[in-house]
Amino acid sequence: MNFTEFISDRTGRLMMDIVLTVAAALFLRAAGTQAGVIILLLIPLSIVFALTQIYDFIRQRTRLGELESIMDGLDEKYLFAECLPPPCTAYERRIFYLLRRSCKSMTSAVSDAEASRREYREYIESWVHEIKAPITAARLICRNTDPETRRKLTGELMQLEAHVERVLYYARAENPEKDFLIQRISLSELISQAIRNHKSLLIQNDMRIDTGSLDYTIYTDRKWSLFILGQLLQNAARYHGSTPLITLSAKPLGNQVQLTVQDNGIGIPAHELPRIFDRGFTGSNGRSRGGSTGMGLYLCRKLSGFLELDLRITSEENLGTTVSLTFPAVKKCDL
Amino acid sequence: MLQIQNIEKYYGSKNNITKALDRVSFDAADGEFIAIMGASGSGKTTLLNCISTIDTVSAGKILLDGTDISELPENKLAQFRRERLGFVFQDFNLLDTLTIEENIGLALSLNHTDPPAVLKQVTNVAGMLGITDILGKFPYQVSGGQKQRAACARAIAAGQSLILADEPTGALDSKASKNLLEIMTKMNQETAATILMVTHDAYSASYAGRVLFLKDGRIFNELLRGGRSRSVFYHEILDVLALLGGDISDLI
Repeated sequence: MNFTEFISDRTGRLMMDIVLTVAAALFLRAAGTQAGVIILLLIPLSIVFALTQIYDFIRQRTRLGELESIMDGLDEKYLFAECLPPPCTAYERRIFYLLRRSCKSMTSAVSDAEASRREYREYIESWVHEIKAPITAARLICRNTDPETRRKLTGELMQLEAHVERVLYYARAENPEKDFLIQRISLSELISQAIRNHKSLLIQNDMRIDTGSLDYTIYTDRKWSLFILGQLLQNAARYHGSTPLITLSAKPLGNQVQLTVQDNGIGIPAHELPRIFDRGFTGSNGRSRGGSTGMGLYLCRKLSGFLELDLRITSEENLGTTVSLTFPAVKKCDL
Repeated sequence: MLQIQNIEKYYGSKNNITKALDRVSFDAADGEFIAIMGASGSGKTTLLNCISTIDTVSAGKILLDGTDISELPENKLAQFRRERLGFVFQDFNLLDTLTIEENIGLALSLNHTDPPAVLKQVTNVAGMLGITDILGKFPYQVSGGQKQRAACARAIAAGQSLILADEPTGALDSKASKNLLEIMTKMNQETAATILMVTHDAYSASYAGRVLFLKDGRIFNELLRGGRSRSVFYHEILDVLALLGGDISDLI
């Protein structure tokens, strides 16, 4: 608060004070008091008056500065009322009481929302664990059928599992820090694992895989990275063209390693490219090829944010899509 | 009688915030004797302070006989405290300049009850707690056990329906503790007052009908005595404590 604001609050009162003082002076003059005496009286009065105004100003400014710095220092600003210093005046006490009531209602709302989200997530997690049992059982039953039925059923079961996995990761993506483990991982091994995880899907779609030099060490969470890679492979398989081919290559970029996943599929139209990471966006390809939930790339974007991976996608319709994923790594010459 | 719904308490200073209570919820019926146990720092004194309106909660509701005391303004709270709540503290908190009789009748006097009624009520309560013979003495003239009994008398003299006790046996020796706990049980049975007792001592907690365990600001476990004997209940409490934090002696 600056001095102008302070004075403008009190203009009315100050005007009144000045008018009364002048009136009193005139009255005394009219009643016969000498001008000199009046001036002698007015000088100390004015000085004291000015000093009290300045004192009030300094006190208010200090107090506001104190409260502002408390607010600035808080991350969760709705907890402001809990950090307030004890009130100095009766007016402050009442204002703080109003603040406290408001903050209390906010904190209650936030706490209730977090609790209900947590309960929902826990339910989803237990559901996912339960659903895995019947899927595994169905797979086992599959083994005892003829090859044709087995192939078809396994394909469907794999889709089931992919959806279930996505549900789990969606539920966990809200608070992934609870499930984080950064490790030193070999990129080529990670990619082999991702390919192995989706072997049936890739074979079913006649996908050929070409891997360039992938001999790098990266630092990331294995499980989340496998999930992201899995989504990319699934997308390449789903939106493949004729003679489908996925090329995986990597190159060092300073302190990082950039992995490129390129396919020669149907590509993404230019007007849809900026929206592919939007939650629930399926686009024209998602509709024509079917089975898209619009969540895969949304989750990838979210998780790569947490893992500090740079995820970029470029594409040309009917030519193919290129995904680049940059992992934190260590320069080999530093080891 | 008492309903605690999802209360949270944050303590903050200039740049530092700690969460003392994390969504604590429970109900207490009329005439229940509940013990609240937990390690130091688990939030049990904070919980008691919030229920007794000495402190306000950051979130959630506390309903006492249907009134939401977490929303009452300061002046109404003071009246509420005087009329409905009785306190028993670890360090007695009797006024040394008043006699035991005057201490007990304090709440009634503050409520502007006339002297004959105050005298009658004080005599009643003193009789029930067995301290009639020390009514004329001053607090510094009587023993710790008698002082605590006087504090209990004070807590129920004005017909308060909820008694809040913060480590009442903390400053007493084992015999005095036993006496006090038996008196509190008697109080609970004869006046149907609800008693909420914070303690870190399993022996005291075993006199309660229900024990709530707090850990890190949350209710960790709850034990009900049911029809079981006190010694059986005592051992069950010890088992939970061992689970809560390693050695039982850690709690003292």
